[in-house]
Amino acid sequence: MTIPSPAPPDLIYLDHAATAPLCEPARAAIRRGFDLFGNPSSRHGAGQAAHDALAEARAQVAALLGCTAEEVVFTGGGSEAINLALQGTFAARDWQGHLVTTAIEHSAVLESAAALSRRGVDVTVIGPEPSGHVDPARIAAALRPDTVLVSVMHANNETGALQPVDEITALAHDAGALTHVDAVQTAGKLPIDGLAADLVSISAHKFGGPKGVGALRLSARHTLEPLVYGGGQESGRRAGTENLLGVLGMAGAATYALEHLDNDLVRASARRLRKRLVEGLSVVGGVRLNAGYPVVPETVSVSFDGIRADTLADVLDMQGICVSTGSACHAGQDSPSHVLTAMGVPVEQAKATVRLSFGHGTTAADIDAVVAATVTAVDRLRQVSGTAVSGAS
Amino acid sequence: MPRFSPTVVDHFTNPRNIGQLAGANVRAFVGNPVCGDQILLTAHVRDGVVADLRFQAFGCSASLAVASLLTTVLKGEPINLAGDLDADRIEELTGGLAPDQRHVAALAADVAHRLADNFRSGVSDDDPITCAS
Repeated sequence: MTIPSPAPPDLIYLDHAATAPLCEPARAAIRRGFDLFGNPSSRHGAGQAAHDALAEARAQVAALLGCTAEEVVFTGGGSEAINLALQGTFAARDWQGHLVTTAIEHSAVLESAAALSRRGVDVTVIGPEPSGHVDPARIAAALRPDTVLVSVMHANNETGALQPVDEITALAHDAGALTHVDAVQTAGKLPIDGLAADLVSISAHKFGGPKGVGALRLSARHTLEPLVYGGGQESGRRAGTENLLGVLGMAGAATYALEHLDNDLVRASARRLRKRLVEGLSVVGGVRLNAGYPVVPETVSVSFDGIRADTLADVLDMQGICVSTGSACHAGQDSPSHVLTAMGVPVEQAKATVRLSFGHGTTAADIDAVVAATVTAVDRLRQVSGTAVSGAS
Repeated sequence: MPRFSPTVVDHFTNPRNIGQLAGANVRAFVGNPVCGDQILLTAHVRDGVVADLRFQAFGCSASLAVASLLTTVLKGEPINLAGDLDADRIEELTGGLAPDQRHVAALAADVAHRLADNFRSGVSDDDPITCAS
């Protein structure tokens, strides 16, 4: 098995849910692409070489998505894939109909839904259970005869909570609606080739590929209007000369991911690292996990009573440990996470929440070092604020 | 460019004079009670000099750093110095603050002024740090 490129040696990187280091197969694929300067749409040899590489990459990404090559639309990232799924679907239906989504979606979905609402689409947003999961019965109750699309994420980017997307898809299909699954957080971690959804979005940089490239899996029966008009690339669904280096990198990362997706040892290792992390952190007391099971093992959302998460993240950063407060997209914002808020987490707890998300290169020694540094930092910050926490050992 | 000056990093990773001073004869608190940055100073002022002081703080890294820094600046100095410190001087002592951190210099100046005023008036603030649990 190819070993992915590690983070710089002086860093312990536990922010894979924000972005993952570029894996070695992706690097190799991009390096190969440096010589493929032709335009894939050109008739000459240079263009055909690029065209062939693009076709090969499309097949590799299709394998990850579990579809035919023709059903893959390359995009400029996960957010564009999501916007193409939502905006494109309703644009093709004259902005008519009903969208059902959830309050814990990524802002790419929620902001896109808000834009649809401004265009006249009726939007229903379903809240999660306190565990961070969406109850399929609540989705079913929201479905209407004019529901066109249901959009639900596969795993939440902040809590890691895995959503019952296939059950939701079955309910939607029974009601005559289509489904979009935002699989940005699960691509490369869990198999997504069997997802029953009509539309599936992924982003390369979350699973070891480069930034600025993603893909939408689009079933043959689904019609949508493009967001970008032009030269008819991507079968007219996304114009613009293809980002060949990015696509090659994504394909390299997809092929690497496929080597370990179904590997029980890899999955067991992720579960062991999660257990080690959670148990290690619990010694400091006043610790709350923000998602119930099922959950992606690699993503741990945890709150520490009596501290502010941004301060804890800064203290850890100064020791070369990279963690996130909530999601990276919300870092720097003063408002608490919309995900935790929707789950009913109090503001104080939300602001005391850090997300630790590990990946293939993470070792047990890394986890132990993060636990030791975090326990020390939390203890110190509580001393500074004068907070007494029961249950610490 | 680093987000924090070396002095700020030093103080929030290794804060000095943490806690509440037993036998303090003046206490000063400033802060946003809705989970914003909060600083509590407790001091023993003898013969007009800050003989000892401690701080507690809840807030961002820079606010913890300036609170810690403030204790090192005031300790052993006349209490009047606390009344004379302003935000510009505190920012200078930190080695520089990013634009989104500059509010903490004002916060530190406010609590220093309040310490001096409280001492002069013979009053003390209660222990109001909230949102920490």
